[in-house]
Amino acid sequence: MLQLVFGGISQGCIYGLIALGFVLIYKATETISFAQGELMMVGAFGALLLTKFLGFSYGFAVLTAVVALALIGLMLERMVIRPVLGQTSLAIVLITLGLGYVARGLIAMAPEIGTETHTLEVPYAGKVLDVGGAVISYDHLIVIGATVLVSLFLYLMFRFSKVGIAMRATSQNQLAAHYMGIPVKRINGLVWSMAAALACLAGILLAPITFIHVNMGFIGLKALPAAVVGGFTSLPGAILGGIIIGLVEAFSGFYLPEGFKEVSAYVVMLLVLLLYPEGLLGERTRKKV
Amino acid sequence: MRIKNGFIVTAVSVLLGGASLSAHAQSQGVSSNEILIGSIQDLSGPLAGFSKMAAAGMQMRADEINAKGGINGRKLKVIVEDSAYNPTKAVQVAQKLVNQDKVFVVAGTIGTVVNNAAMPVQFEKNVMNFAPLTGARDMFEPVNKLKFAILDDYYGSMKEHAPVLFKKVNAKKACILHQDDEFGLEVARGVTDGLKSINVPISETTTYKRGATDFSSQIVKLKNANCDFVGMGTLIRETPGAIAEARKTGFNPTFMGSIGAYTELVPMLGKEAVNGFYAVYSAGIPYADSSNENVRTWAANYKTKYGSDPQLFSLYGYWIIELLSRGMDKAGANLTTETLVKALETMGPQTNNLGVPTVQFSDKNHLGSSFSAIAQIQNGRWVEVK
Repeated sequence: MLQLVFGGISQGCIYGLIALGFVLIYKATETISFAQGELMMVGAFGALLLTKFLGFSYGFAVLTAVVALALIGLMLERMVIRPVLGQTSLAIVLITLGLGYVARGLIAMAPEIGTETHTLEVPYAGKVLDVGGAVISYDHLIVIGATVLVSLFLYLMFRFSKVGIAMRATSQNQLAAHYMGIPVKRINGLVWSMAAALACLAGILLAPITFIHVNMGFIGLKALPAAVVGGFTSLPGAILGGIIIGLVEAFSGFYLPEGFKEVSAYVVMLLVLLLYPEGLLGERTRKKV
Repeated sequence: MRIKNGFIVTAVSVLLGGASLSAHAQSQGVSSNEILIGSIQDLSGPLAGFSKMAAAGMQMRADEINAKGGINGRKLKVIVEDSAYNPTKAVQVAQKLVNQDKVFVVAGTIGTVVNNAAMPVQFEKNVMNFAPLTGARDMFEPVNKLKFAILDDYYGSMKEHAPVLFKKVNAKKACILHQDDEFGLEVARGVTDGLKSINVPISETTTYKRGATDFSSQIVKLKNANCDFVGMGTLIRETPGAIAEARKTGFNPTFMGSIGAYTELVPMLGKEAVNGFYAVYSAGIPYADSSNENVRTWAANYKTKYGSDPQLFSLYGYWIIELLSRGMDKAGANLTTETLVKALETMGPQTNNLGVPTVQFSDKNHLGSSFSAIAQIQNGRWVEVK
């Protein structure tokens, strides 16, 4: 039972980290980016490249990969998203979907590496912790720990730092923020790079559990229910939503008949959309026209 | 005069009609200098590890045959398409191969669901499905002119070996983890019926969706059932994924996989966690340091050509083209689907010096080989178990 809880929470934290990216981007620009899953995959491959082929140590590789993905996120915002600001949100969603396809195609093209499944060398491989009868693997512990740290970092940043407050301002009202002298375009770029960095971290944390391969980004589709459940406008909601989805999946996989595990996430999402359309922690927003 | 003209016209049209009739009797994909062989592989999905090797092995044999002039003067052209292990895509690429490229035969297609999706498209145009890379019984049962298989089937081999292994490891309780599609079901049925023959029921069965990567709740379920023997209807990623998950939670039953899990990729991905894993095998893995000298030579040639060591599926691909070409050679210059079927059914036992089991077809039997045995991963390497 405890086993299920821990497994569910750690899986949920992965969903939560990716959902954080969704929510960050949505809060700032009111667009949903479906490229989060693929950014996660690219980040994992990046870490693989750094550790396996360039011989970086794990910690250094993680740092480098996260920074690299942050830069990629910045670049994507500048080159692909900014030119289409003002278009319908559907256009931007489709563009992010397209980015996903391009990322998968490019990675699959890498000779020898792209279409294979790989393992990531991690210093905590195979280690386990015994907690009251339940055995928790370090893979899962690290995921939960990292999510806690990231959440704390983001909370502090949004509460106390200038950049964080500026981001909150732009997510409330871009025009007003602009009038206050906040460089809105630059903030948007920063938001995208943060989302990409989060996705990269999620990918690196997920790699020891699910291996690195070109289709690992599809897990990003599960992060969407997580974001919906928590509320697309709430950052703590993203984590909460992720954990809820993770737990629901773990328990339905154990208690319900076969096959329910796969659909449980989407069933919960539908229920939340029917009963609490703004999500559990989302804000009720109304626009005065 | 008129009667004579009429006679000439009739005679000429009968001759022309007869000529066009025999042209219709000729199969697509065969021209005077080329034979088109299609193959549906998974180049981008969960089975990409197998498919890359299989395609390379097929191409290697085709290149060798072409270098010697081809089959009865016709060069072999292998056209590989990607199904991504997705039955919808399989139908699309099957249509491309059969209706656009107009291949003569489809060989070595990988994936039970992919074959099942592609075969109706092929059979509509009388295109044979030769030696698919799957052990499902659909590939050769019921006997169909156009179905030829060489891999011992999942059901039969698990039914044969599961009770043997169960007794060998003194197991008490049996469970199953399988992919929830036709492949997984075939393995599960085999394990169930095999253990039924020694009066062992299956205490718990859990499934996962094709492509899934999280097995935590399935493992908890199996652990709770206290089984010490788990039949695995799993493939490349799921085998090490599920076993690693089990080891992490301190659950260490005897795991037994089907031919689908007998691959170098499992110890490569699973590392120490998968030591002790058993699986059924048909042809042995062609290790570059094999005790069989012919295998060593072949592996060296492969490495020279492709720059990396061959794997089991490279050997399968190589053997599939070899076997097919022997049949086409026997069928002779008038190569059609019908003559190929006849040739395959009558060419007697076939093997090569690379350790593949002997294959023989007949008009009543289109499963060429039912040899299988058990192997175990010991120290990262597959070893036969006597």
